[in-house]
Amino acid sequence: MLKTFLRLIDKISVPQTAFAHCDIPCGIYDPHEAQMAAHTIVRMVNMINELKASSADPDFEGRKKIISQISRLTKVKEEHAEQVKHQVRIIWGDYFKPEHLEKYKGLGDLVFKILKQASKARQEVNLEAARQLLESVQKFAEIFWETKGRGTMRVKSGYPTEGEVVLPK
Amino acid sequence: MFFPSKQSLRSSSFDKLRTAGLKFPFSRFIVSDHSMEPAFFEGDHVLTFNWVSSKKRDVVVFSQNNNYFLKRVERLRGDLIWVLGDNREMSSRLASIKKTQVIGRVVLKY
Repeated sequence: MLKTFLRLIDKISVPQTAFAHCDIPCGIYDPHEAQMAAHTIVRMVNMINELKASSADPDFEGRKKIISQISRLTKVKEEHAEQVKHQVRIIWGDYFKPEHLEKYKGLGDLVFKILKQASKARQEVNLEAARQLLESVQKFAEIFWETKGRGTMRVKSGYPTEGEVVLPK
Repeated sequence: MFFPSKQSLRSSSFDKLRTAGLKFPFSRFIVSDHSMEPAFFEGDHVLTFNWVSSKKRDVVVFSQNNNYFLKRVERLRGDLIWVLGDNREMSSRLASIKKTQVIGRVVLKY
């Protein structure tokens, strides 16, 4: 009854359009997801490093268990490294303009560095590499928000990595 | 129950009301595009309730650059809300908006 009534009203007065798109260039960009993905990589490396076998020479069941755990953690680490690259590539390709490159001389190098660091984070179980990637993504986020005229702040993420996230003020 | 006319939803009038701190209790929208599938398909009509705060997993309509967008709330922090489409094939990245950009929460699809 209510739905019929609303449809009737809509025929008299057509509602506004609400767009349900995002990847069509619409001015909506945010480096937050890249930061979350970089934090996830740090977390996965920590979790892999914390894994312990049941003994120095585990039996078949023990081996199966730890291989399964490492596989799962590695899969998530791989996916999030790819996610970092994906998110940074979108902002790099769709958002940044030549004038940004002119103003932020190191931006191109920073993006190149992030892509390489993300690849390294995929290939290795290397906490230092994961942290370096996170730091680079945070710098990227700071530049991004600066181009929008927004100051930034680094706040505690609240994630198990205990690291920070860059947020616009 | 009060249903605004098409004219009343136009940005100029809407902005005046928003500036005055007033909001219509309800707004009507037609969905365009596919990033909220399968919950919302192109051509669906939705009703928003505008006198309520957003919470995680709500579907909201917000305004940006004189357009309206339909997205799901993924996280909230301070004055910011991160939104994302349900259809990850089309909407693969979070976007942050200010709480003040939210028009209302979708309460009915019709």
